[in-house]
This record gives sequence, structure tokens and C-alpha cells, in this order.
Amino acid sequence: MSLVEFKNVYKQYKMGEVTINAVDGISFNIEEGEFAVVVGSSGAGKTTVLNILGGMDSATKGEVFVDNKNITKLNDKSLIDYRRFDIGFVFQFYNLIPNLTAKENVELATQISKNPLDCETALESVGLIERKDNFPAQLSGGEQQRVSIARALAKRPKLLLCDEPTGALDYNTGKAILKLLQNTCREEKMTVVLITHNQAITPMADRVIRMKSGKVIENRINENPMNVDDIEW
Amino acid sequence: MKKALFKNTFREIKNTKARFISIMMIVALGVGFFVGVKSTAPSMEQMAIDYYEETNLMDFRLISTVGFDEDDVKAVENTSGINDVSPSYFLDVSTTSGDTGKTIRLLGAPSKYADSDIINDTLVIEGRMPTKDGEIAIECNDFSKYKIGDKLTIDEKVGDTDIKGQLSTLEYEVVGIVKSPMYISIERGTTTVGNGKIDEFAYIAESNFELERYTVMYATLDTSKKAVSPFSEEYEKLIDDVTDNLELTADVRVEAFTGENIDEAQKKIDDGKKELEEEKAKVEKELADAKAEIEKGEKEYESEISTAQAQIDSAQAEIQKGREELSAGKSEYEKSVAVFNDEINSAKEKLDEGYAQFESAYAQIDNLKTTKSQLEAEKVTAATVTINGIISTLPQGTSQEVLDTLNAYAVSITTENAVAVLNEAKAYLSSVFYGAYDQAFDMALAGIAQLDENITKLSDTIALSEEKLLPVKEELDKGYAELNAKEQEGLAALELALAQLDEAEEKLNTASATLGNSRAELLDAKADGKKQLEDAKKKYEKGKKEAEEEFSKAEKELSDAQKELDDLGEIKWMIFNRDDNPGYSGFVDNTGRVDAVASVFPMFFLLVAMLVCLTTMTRLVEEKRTEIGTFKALGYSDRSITFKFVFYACSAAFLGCVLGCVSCIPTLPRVIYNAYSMLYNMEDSIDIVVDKMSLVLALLAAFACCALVTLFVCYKNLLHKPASLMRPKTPKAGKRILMERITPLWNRFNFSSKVTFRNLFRYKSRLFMTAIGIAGCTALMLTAFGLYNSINDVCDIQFKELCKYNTIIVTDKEKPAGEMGELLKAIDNDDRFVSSALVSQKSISVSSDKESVNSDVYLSVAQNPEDFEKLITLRNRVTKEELSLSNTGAVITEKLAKMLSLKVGDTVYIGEEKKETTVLGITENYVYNYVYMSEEAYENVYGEKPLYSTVYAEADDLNVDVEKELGSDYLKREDVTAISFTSTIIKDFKDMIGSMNMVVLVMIISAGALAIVVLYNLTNINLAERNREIATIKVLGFYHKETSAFVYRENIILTIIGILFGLILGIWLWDFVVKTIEMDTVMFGKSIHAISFVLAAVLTGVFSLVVNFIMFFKIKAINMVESLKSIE
Repeated sequence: MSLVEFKNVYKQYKMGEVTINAVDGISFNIEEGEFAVVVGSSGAGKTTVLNILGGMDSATKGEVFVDNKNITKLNDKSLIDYRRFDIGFVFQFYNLIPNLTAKENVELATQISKNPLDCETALESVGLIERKDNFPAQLSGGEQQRVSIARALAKRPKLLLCDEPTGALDYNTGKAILKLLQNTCREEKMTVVLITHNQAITPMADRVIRMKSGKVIENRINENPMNVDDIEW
Repeated sequence: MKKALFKNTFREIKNTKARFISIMMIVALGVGFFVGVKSTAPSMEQMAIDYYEETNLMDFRLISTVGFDEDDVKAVENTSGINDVSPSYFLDVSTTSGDTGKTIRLLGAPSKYADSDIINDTLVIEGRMPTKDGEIAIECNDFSKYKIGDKLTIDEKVGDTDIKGQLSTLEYEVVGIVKSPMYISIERGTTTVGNGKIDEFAYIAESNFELERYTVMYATLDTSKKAVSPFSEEYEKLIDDVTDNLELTADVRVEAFTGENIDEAQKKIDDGKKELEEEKAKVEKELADAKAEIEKGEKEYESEISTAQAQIDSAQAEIQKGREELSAGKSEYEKSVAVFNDEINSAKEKLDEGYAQFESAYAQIDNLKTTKSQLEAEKVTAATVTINGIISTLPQGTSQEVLDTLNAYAVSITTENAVAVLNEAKAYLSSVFYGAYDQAFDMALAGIAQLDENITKLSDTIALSEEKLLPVKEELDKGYAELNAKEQEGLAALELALAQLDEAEEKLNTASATLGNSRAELLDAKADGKKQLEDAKKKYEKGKKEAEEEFSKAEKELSDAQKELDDLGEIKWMIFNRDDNPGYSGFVDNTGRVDAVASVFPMFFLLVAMLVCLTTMTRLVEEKRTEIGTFKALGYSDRSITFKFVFYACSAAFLGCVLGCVSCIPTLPRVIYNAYSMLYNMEDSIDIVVDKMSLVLALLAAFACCALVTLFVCYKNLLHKPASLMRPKTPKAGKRILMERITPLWNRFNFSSKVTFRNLFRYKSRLFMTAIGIAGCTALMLTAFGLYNSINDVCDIQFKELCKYNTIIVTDKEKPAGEMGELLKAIDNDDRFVSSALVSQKSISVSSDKESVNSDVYLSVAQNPEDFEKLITLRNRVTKEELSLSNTGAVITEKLAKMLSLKVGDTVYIGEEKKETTVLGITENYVYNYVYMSEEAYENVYGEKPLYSTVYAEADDLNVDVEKELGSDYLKREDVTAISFTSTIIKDFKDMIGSMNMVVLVMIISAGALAIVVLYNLTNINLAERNREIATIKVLGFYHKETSAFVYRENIILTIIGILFGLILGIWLWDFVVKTIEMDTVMFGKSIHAISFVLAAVLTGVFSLVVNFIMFFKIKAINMVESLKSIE
């Protein structure tokens, strides 16, 4: 069975009389160790998918399985456990705690995990070991995102969710971050789900899920994923 | 103002309700509390003004040493500045008809005098005022709880003063319960009777007083109280002026009184004295005459008696002489009898001797005669024997005749015839027998012849002796006869002498008897004379005594009159004003105290309001950074943009002010007045008078701090260019803090602790706001609890630790210790009392070199310091070291020492006379001020022993029943006027404290409100600011608890800091408040109990927890999706 499986999932928002389907009966699956990219324009429903997958929001209908666990059925507490132990999250705006140093931000994750990576190792893996005692404000955007990735990886999650990780970064830094993510996926056999509106990134993915108006319009396996360095946009 | 901007502003308010409300609330609290409390004093003052106006409280109360008459009243009425005058009566009496005796001031029921208004009108709470004799209206604070219809009996005497003559009846029926504007507090003033304290006042109809002159006059100013507040300086000046006028009137009236009454009376007395002297002289002369006569009679009597006595005495002497002579005669006679007897006896002896010789000689003769007769008998015998022998030898056959003859011979033999017979017999026989028997006869005849010879010889001798003795005998007989004759003669002579003596004695006895009679006669005469004299004397004495009595009576009357006149002393009018009403000035002082407290408390609120406003507005402006940039870019002026925020803040402030004023102004003054009204008998409720000055001040302060803070925050932001404003603000950089240098410690912290500590130091304004807010809350609560302790300590320590006595017995009058014996003995012997002490107590003024205290100080003199110290603990408050009384000085109470700035060893001046003594010690005491002395110390200071009127006693297991029993037992005694129990004082005090608890509650509630508002605001801002952070850690998989802790930790640490700081601040604030509200008569407890610290801290903690609990749901509700949003 796939690591991630969406089965006819709906997310509906009621605005008075009108019901809006942010996600309109989607089904897809992602296999373990895959680098999956969910792509779509604004309002396509990809953030909703991310929210549901990240345990931050729940589906109105349908079932979502992650590692054989139906997360749509989880209660509040189990959902927190799910986020805590199964998911690593990389935000578009890094979301580091400004009052904590790089290392301490990573510790933020390791302190709550069952079997975390050593936080120095995690920082080393993102190449920021020498900046570990810096506060976020003292780091550049790319560096902050690396810390963010280190924080996510340090938890040894089953699934690494990335929300437009390059959205706030310049081209080169963005590429470097993508490279880091791709390497992590390849080397650590980490399943990565990356959400972006940037079509150009799709060639590097193992699986591309294309969304439009709350529906999955394409779910294909990329037989020959490209190296990040080879992609241009 | 642009419409869009308005809309934007209102939406802003709608979206940030919590923040808006917190500004509003803190402003409401600050302004409301400040204005509310500030309005209390003017409201209370206004109430007092209205109450006095309504009851037409007098402005002057006049008392004279001699009372007043109608002319006096008119004179006062005509004095410039006086509107109305109302004369009346009062009398201080005692009653023992309740459970405990007490001193009552009886006042004449206020009535209309001439055309003036009723002055000092009463408020009838129940029933009605007395209208006729025997009715009484009692005061509402009646401690023995009379009800309408109850009977009340006034004692016939109070001390030495006769009450019976001054009142038409002593039996009263309670018809009403009233309060008087003259007695607004629980104080009732002092009196000269009983133990010097008035317990209650009561009204009776004026007609009940049987007094010649009015005892009091009440007068009012002709200036309206509406125009001049009685609490203003203007009023004081008016009073001073009119007092001067009244003094002039008084001088005139006193002079008039002296002219009309005093001089006249003096003249009368003088006349009386003169008359008395004359009468006295006359009577004295009469008496002297009478006395002289008696003395003369006495003399005569004496001389007569003595003459008679002399006669009797000489007679007596003669008799005595006679008796002596007689006894001499008698003894002579005795003597001659003895001599005579001697003579006779010796003569007799001689004779007897001779006779004895004669007798013996005669006896010899008798012997001889006996021998002779023996011999003669022998002769017969021999003859007879011879014959009889012969007969026996006669041969048989001898004829009878012979035998008979022989026998006849034998029988007829005698002395004289023996020989003859024998011879015849011989002869016969010889005849018969022829001589055969002659021989026998011869032999016998020879024997007889021998005998005859001897007999003859004897007879010769006898005859010879007898011949010799005869003349001796004759001589002796002659001697005897002579002697007898002589004796007879002597005896006759003696008998004669004796007869003479007897005769003389007889005569003497007769004389003696006569003398006895005359003596008895004399005695009778003496007794008689004496009795007559005694009678005369008695009569004289009686007359004298009567005269003297009459004189002394007259003299006493005169001296009484003189004394009465002298007692009037200097005729004086005393002019009192309202300040002399018990409790009047205290009320004014109290309103001042409320004001002082009011000025301090709201400072906290305003300060905290400013901080709340600052943090809130800072956050708001920062959140709206982009918006400000946008407006700026759109071309809005800085002013318009700033206006939005100022409007936001000021509308919150405005609403807060309105809310605060509406909620606090009508309530706080009432709550505070309610607490005070327990102490005062005035109106039950007050009308609120808003202190406009404070209102304006508070509003200005509220608006100013909100507006200024907002302007300041906006100004900082508006300096930037629109472009930079539209870029997200670089988040405040994380900064290392000092604590991190302690690496081992820091490394042990988890991330949330680290965040907490870094945050604490990052947002300083928030730190201060919270710390000050929480500190304020803790401080307020500590003050409230401390105040509660201080007030309760007064009661607990004073009546449990210091004053061990629970019963106070007041005697009928002040008297020396020696006259108390009976009562003391009764108390000593009463099992119900454990111990007792005799105390002299009086109200005095005391001063030191610098200060003086004139009221509510009592001089308490212990007759026996040892007993006294058993009932009243004298000790140092801090060290608890026991103090003791000695004869070298006085122990004074702590509050008094403080008021007079006295230390141990200083000199203190007692009483009006300023008697000097040394401060021996300063003792812990909370209620009233005392100067304690031993009897010796008092004597050393005053030169005399004190008079006693009070006994303190400690009863075992005192309860209501025992109190009733003791009350009825002791009030039965003649020498007890009143018995009271500290339990009633304690109860009254507890009631008072109960009312203070309301104020404490208000403080605790407002403190809690402060804490909640501050914490809520802080947490709210904190949450808003850290929304993303919280959303992020939620996404990271933090449990709710962990997430909350992330936020709470900061609150908790700030709360702890605030509490610690607040406890210190609270001590200071408590000290200030206690000092401010403390009255002269009461020292509040000087310590805050540990439990109060704990309570203040814990309650603050609880408020903090409540806020955190509310926030928990808010934290839970934070949407994780927020984390995905871009930074604004």
C-alpha cells in the first residue's frame, strides 16, 4: 500500500447558502520515498490538501491514509501525535521562533520527538553548523529555510511537507533549497511532498500531482526525474 | 474626517474588541475608583449639611454655672448674629432598672420657644416624642434594648445629688426611639456624675424638669447654612465673630445676675449672720446667769454639807475616843482579872501543896491502921482457927454441947474478946477435958498476945501520928477558908468593874447609833441637794444645747447659703459650638481620611491604565504598519492617520470613563458611607455629590495618557517612509540575555523557558505593566487584608491579651479606698470572680514639652498594682517584655506616647495643673489612651490619695446568663451604680469591624479586577503578537498543554515578580492607609499577619490562573493555518 492515499476527499466551506468545495472529491496516492510535487495555481486547492495531509485541517468527506492510518478519523489528541511524530513541515516563511537561535529552533523539534536526530547533525546536514548560535534575524532567508528544514528533518518524520519552500527566496537560494530537499529524499529515503505553484519545478519530482479548481487533473510518475541543478526557470 | 477612515476605525474596534475593552476597563477602573472614592467625602459632607439643616442643629450651645432665665434668653436672642434661641433643660441621671446600670443624660424634648424654630430637632425612628409627664424617648443606640412600652426607672440619687427633687417623676414609659443631630457618633460625652461617662441620652417632656432656671440654651446663626457650609472656613469665622458677641452678652448678663441675685443673697446672709450673733449674745447671757445661780446653789450646798459632815465627824471622833477608853478599861480589867487569878491560884497552890503533904501523911496513918486491922483480923482468925482446930481434934463422942459451945465461942470471937473467949473456951474445955487442950490454948493465947502487943504498938504509933497531924489540918482548913474569902472579895470587885465597863459600852453604842442616824440624814440631804442641783444643771444644759442646736442650725443654714453662693464661684457662661458635640469633629476628620485614601489608591489604576494603553496601542500601531504605509502612500496626512489611533484610544478611554463613572460614582460612596454609618447615627443613605474637580482631573488624566501614549507610538512609526512601512517590519531581533552566560543553568532550560526569559527582557514595557499591575493588585489586597488584621487585632489583642478583666463595676460615688471595703470584700468572696482590682479613673488632658492631647485620655490609678497588673497587661508591644507600675512615675500607652512624642524617661505633664511625672514605660494598647499610675505614684504627684470609683474584675466563664445574674446581684447594692461587661464593647467593636469588612471587600474586588484586566490584556497582546509562533509550534505537534505553557510561563514569572514586588509595596501602602485612617482614640494593630501575605499572594495567583484559564481556550482556538500566512 502507498504511504499516502487520498480517497475521494472533499473539503467544503459553507458561506451562507453557498457551499464551496475547496477540494472536490480528489483521490491520489504517493509511494514511500517519493519526491512528490503538488502543483496548481492559486485557489486550486493545493494548500487545503497540504493542510489535510499535515493534520492541520480535516476533510469534510472521504478518507486519507498515511502509513495505513486513517487520519480523517483521528481525534484532536491523535492528530497532534500524528503531527508530532509523523510529519515534518517546511514553511514558506520559515516560521522560526525569532527568540531562539538556529540550534534552539531545531531543539524545539527534537525535544518533542521520540527518536530525533542529534540537532547538530541535523544542522550539519543542511550545512549550517557554524551558524547554530545565530538568531533567525541574523540569518539570510535561505539560511533560515535551511534551519527550518533541519528542524523538520530532526524529527525523523515519515513525511516531509514543504509549503512553497522557495516562495520567499531568490532563484539561486531557492534552487539550493530544492537541491537539499531532493538530496534528503534520495539519500535519506525520505518521502517529500512539496507544494508549489511553480510549474518549472515539476521535472525534478518523482511524482507530479496537478490540481485545478479543487480537483486532481493529473497524477503521473516522472520516469526520469531531473537533477535540480539541471532545471532552469 | 474621511468616511473611509471612520469606517476603518470602527472596524478596527470591532476586530480588536478584547484590546479595546481592556483599555476601556482599566480606564473605567481607574477613573471610577478615583472619582467614586473622591466623591465620598463631599457626599458625606453634603449629607451632614442636609441632616443638620433638616434638624436645625444649633450653632451654639450655652451653659451657665447658674442656669438661665427669660431675660438671659432674650439677651441672647438680641445678640447680633443670632437668629433663634431655644432654652431647655438637661440632667445627668443614672438608672439601674436595666440589666446593667448606666448614666443617662436626660434632655428636654425639643419644642418651639416663642416664635423661633425648633432647634436640634430629633428624628423619630419609632413611636413618638414624649408629650406628657412620665414619658421618655430613648436613643436608637440604646444598649440595653428597651422597647416601646417598657418601663424605665431613674435612680433617686446619683452620687450625692438628689434627683428626686429635680424631676416630677422617676418612673417613665418608653414611647419613642429617636436620634439626635447632637449625638451623631457613638460617643456620648462626659459628665460629672457616675464614672464620668454618659452612656446614653434620652428625651423627656420639659414639664418633667422641676428646675427653677433653664440649664441650657441652644442658638442658631442668622446665616443660612445653604449660603455658608458648616464645614467651611467662612463658617468658622462667623462662629468666632458671633462667639465674641455672645461673650459680650454673657458679661452683661453675668453682671446683672450678680447684681440681682448674688449681692442680694449675700446681704441676706450677712443680715442673718448679724441677727444670729445678737440672738446668740442674748441667749448666752441668760445662760450665763442661770449658770451662776447654779454655781451659787452648789456652793451653799457644799458648805452646808461640809458643816454637817464636820459635826458628824467630831461625834464620830468622840465615840471613837470613848471606844478607845473603853477598850483600855477592858484590857485593864482583863489584866487585873489575870493578876487576881494568879494570886488566888498561887495561894491555892500553896494550900494544895500543904494539903497534899497532909494527905500523904494521913495515908501513912491509914496504912498503919490497915496493918492494925489486919493484925486484929489475924487475931480473930488465929482465935477462930485455934478453936476450929481444937474442935477438929476433939474425940469422937464429944458431946454436942461441947461442940456447940465451942462453935459459939468460935463465932463470937472478936478482936477485943478473943483472949477472953479463948480463955473461957480454955476454961470450959479444961473443964470438960480436964485441961487436955490447955496447951493448945495457951499456944494460941501466946500468939494472940504477940499480936496484941503489935497492935498496941501500932495503935500507939497511929495515935501519935494522928495527934501530930491534927494541927496541920486545922491550919490548912483555915488557909482554905481565908483564900475563899479573899477570892469572893476579888471577884465581887471585878464584877463591879465589868459592870461599869458594860455600862460605858452601852452608852457608846447608843451614841454610835445616833451618829449613824444623823449620817443617814446627811446623806439623804446630800443626795437631795445634789439632785436638785443636777436637775438645775440638766435644765441649764438642755437649754444650752437647744440654744446651741438652734444656733448651729441657723449657722449651717447661713453657711450653706454662703457656700451655695460661693460655689457659684465666678458666675460663668460657657459658649460651645458644634465642635464640642461628641463625634462632630470626628465626622469631618473621617471624611478627610476617606479623601486621603482616595488620593493614593487610584494612582495605581491610572499608572496601570497608562501602561495598558501604551502596550495595547503599540501593538495596534505595529500591526497596522502596512495600513499606515498604505494610507500614507494614498496621501492621507499624518494627522488623519494619527487621528484614527488617537480616536481609537480616546473612544476607549471615553467609554471607560463613562462606564467607570456610571458604575462607581453611585456605588462606592454608598459602600464606604455604609461602613462609616455604623459609627454614626445620621441619615441612612447619602445623596451622591460628585467631586467635579476630581472628575475633571480623572478624565483629563485618562484622556491625556491614552492620547499621549498613542501619539507617541504613532509618531515613531510615521517617521518612516511609506515604502519601508509597507515592508514587513523586521522582527525584533532575538538577543542574548545575561542569564545565558550561566551556561550550565541555561542549557538545562528547555526551549520554552529560554523563550520566556528572552521575552521577558525583550518587551520591557510589558514587563513593567504586568509587574506594576500585579504588584498593585497584590499591594491592594495586602493592604486590605492588613487593614482587616489591624482592625481585628484591636479587638483581639486589646480584649483578649491586654485587658483581662471582663466586668467593670462603678460605685455610687468617688471615695477613698478605705470606704470600699465592703464592696471589695463582696467581690473577693464571690466565687464567680477570679480576681479584681480597684481603680481610680478620670478623663484628663496630657502634654509633653512639645505636644498636648486634650481628649480621650484617661488617668487610671491602681490601688494595688499587683492586682491591677493581673487584669491589665502592661508590656512592650515589640519585645513583649512585661512592664510594671512603681511609685516613681507613670506608664503611658503607645498611641499617647506617639502623639506626645514621648520616650521612656521623658517628662509628661498630667491634667490642667500640669503635674509633672516621669514616663516609666510605654505599653501596648489599642483602644483609648491611658496614663497608668500606682497609688503611691499618684500621691507623689498630687500630694493626696486618689478617690476610687471603679472596680475591674475578671469573672470565670462569663456568659449572658452569668452577666444577667451578676448584674442583678450587684445592682441591688447601695454602693454600686453600674456594672458593665466588656463583652458588649467587644460586640459593638465587632459590629464596627463588620462594616469595615465591606470596605476591605471593595478593595479586594477592585484589586482583583485590576489583576484580571492587566493579565488579560497582557496575555491577549502576547497572543496576538505571537500568533504565528504559536501556530507554528502547533504545527510542529505541540500538545495544547505545551503550547499554553509556552505562553503562560511568561505570565507566571511576571505574576511572581509582581507579587513579590506587590508584597513590599503593600506593606508601605498598608502603613500609609492605617496611619491615615487611624483615630486618636484607637491604635490599629501594627502588624500584618503572615496569613494575609499568603492570602494576598495566593489570591493574586488565583486571579492570574483565572486569566490563564480563559486564555487556554483562546490559545486552543488559534488556527494553525495562520502559520502559513506571510508576515504582515
